[in-house]
Amino acid sequence: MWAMIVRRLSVSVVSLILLVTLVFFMIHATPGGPAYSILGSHASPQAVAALNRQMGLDRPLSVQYGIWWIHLLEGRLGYSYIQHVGVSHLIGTYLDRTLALDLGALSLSILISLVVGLVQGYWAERLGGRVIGFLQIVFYAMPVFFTGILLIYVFSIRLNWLPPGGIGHHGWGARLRHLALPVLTLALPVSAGFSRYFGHQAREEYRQDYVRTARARGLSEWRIATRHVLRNAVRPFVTLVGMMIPVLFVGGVLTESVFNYPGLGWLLWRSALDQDYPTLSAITLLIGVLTILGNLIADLLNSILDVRVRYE
Amino acid sequence: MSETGAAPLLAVQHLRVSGRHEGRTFPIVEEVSFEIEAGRMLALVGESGCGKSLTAAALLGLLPWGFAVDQGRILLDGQEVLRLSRTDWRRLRGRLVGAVFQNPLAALNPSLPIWKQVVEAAELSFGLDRRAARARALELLELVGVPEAGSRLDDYPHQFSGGMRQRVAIALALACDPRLLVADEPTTALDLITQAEILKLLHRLQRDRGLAILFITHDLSLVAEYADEVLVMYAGRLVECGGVRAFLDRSLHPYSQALLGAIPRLDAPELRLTDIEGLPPSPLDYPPACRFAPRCPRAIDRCRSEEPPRVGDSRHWAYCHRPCSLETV
Ligand SMILES: Nc1ncnc2c1ncn2[C@@H]1O[C@H](COP(=O)(O)OP(=O)(O)OP(=O)(O)O)[C@@H](O)[C@H]1O
Ligand code: SF4
Ligand SMILES: [Mg+2]
Repeated sequence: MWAMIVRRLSVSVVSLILLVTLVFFMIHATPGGPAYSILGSHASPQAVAALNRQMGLDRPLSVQYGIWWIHLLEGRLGYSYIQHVGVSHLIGTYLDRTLALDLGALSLSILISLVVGLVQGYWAERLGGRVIGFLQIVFYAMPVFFTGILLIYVFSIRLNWLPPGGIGHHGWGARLRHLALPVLTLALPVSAGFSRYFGHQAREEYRQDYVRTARARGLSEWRIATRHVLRNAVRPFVTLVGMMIPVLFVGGVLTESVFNYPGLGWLLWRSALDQDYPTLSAITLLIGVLTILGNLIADLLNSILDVRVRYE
Repeated sequence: MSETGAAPLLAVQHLRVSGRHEGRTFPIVEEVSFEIEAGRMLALVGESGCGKSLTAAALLGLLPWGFAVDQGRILLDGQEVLRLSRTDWRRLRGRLVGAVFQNPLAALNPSLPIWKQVVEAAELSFGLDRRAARARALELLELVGVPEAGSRLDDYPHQFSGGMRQRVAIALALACDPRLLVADEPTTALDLITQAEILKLLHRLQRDRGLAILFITHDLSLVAEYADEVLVMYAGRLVECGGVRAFLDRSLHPYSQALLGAIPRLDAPELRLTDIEGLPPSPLDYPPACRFAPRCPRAIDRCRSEEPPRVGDSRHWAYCHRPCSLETV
């Protein structure tokens, strides 16, 4: 198990190095170099040269690459010439909003898909199982824009229960109320995908003989579901959740724009429009790092769950 | 069949199990009646697909989705289980009945250490704490003859050999001291020596603890030694029933004779069920009257038009128009 953890950690480290390098080259491959995007394409060559010197862009690429690393390790993500603040500060403000949205949606999706998947697996041959399968396809295919607007229409405009967008500034209650619709919007397609996969795993487990043995011993369906089926079906599911984290981030970006929710996705979108490269690259890096971390955690969790090798 | 006059542990009366196929309901198992008394082993024998497992599943209340008992009664320790609520039947089953199936590896949860599985049912029924539960698990594993059981409590199913797994599966079934064990081909997946060992174990449990056993198999030679009574099933119906000695010496039904390899025309010494010519019919089109007629060497016209009558006596009977060896009964 330790060998596996070391191997898995080194894979993550290598991915991180690749990611950092890739983002470095991404910045330097922008047409005309970063200076043009900061000063505008009509800037005079003198001004460009001055800025390049100021930013160290006239030095050899290898030196710049080294400096890039040093800055990153020191946590210095650069300065946004568009927003006129340090990128670290900028990201700090937006990150926790995004984490609240994405992690909220992730937890809700996991909860929904465990419950729905177990029911679906138990009902595999019945009408109920097929109805669930149909709903999963519907919700999975529904674009975030559509779901978001639908939910806004129903819960904000018609029922007037929840705010249609933005973030609450006054206390937890307001924050949660502002989070509810975005979280639900993001969680619906994600839980449709998750529960479909987990439902499939659960159905496979329900077909196994050990379920019959458990029933023959007089165990209750609740116990069979929670102690036996869940334990075996959840393992591949953990891997899937890890793999889907980038998709969740992307969905989060869209959701943030639908609800005008100022999170990282919204910032990413803005900085892409403004050609704010320092901010753009920092967000790309951050999403990459979170993805690598998510996968790592999923794999480690899986290896802890999988103390035995499944014998086929 | 009851010799003591006491109520049998299990009585099945006119059981019919139906399945659905393309929207049509059709009976698969019909008119199955038998009894088992404490401490006896009843063997249910028949070719693959004749309905043995469905019968067992019906007794356990574990019929797969789409199958149902739509006629008959099942009396377990005097209680009519088909009338009980699902929960009550589940509790009764947990206390009174144990079950062992063909594939012991699949029958065990791959991701739980065996001691937890062995005592799970007992823990729930009797509320054992962890120490008592481990002690009980050890006791059960020793009972079924797992060597060095103490050091194997925390092992997982895949760490055991096939025969040991079946012993563990039997330990699971015995956790709540059941009085009836339903064993559906428990040895079919095992090699010959292991088969014999498992049978000896079951026989020992039957003798020492008064356990009643319903032993399902398609291998008649396996049960000859230990079973008290034999039930022969063909195409969803019982065709013969008798004490094992009487059955082996003078089986009545031509199908039983074929199983026993006693028909001279079939000269294979080690006769297996698959050696009977032809295939058993599908439940979707059982032949009219005697279902064995298309394959029966003794068939006459009447066999195809009239339901065969019951012949023999209450201890040893068969359904047949031209039974073998009836003259000597
Ligand atoms: N899950 C199922 N789905 C569809 N048909 C089934 C199912 N289980 C059993 N059957 C049908 O019911 C009939 C009886 O099957 P059953 O499993 O009881 O036979 P069996 O005597 O136990 O055979 P075997 O020796 O192969 O275990 C068979 O014809 C089979 O086709
Ligand atoms: S009734 Fe006729 S066909 Fe059926 S088993 Fe007896 S002899 Fe054979
Ligand atoms: Mg069977």
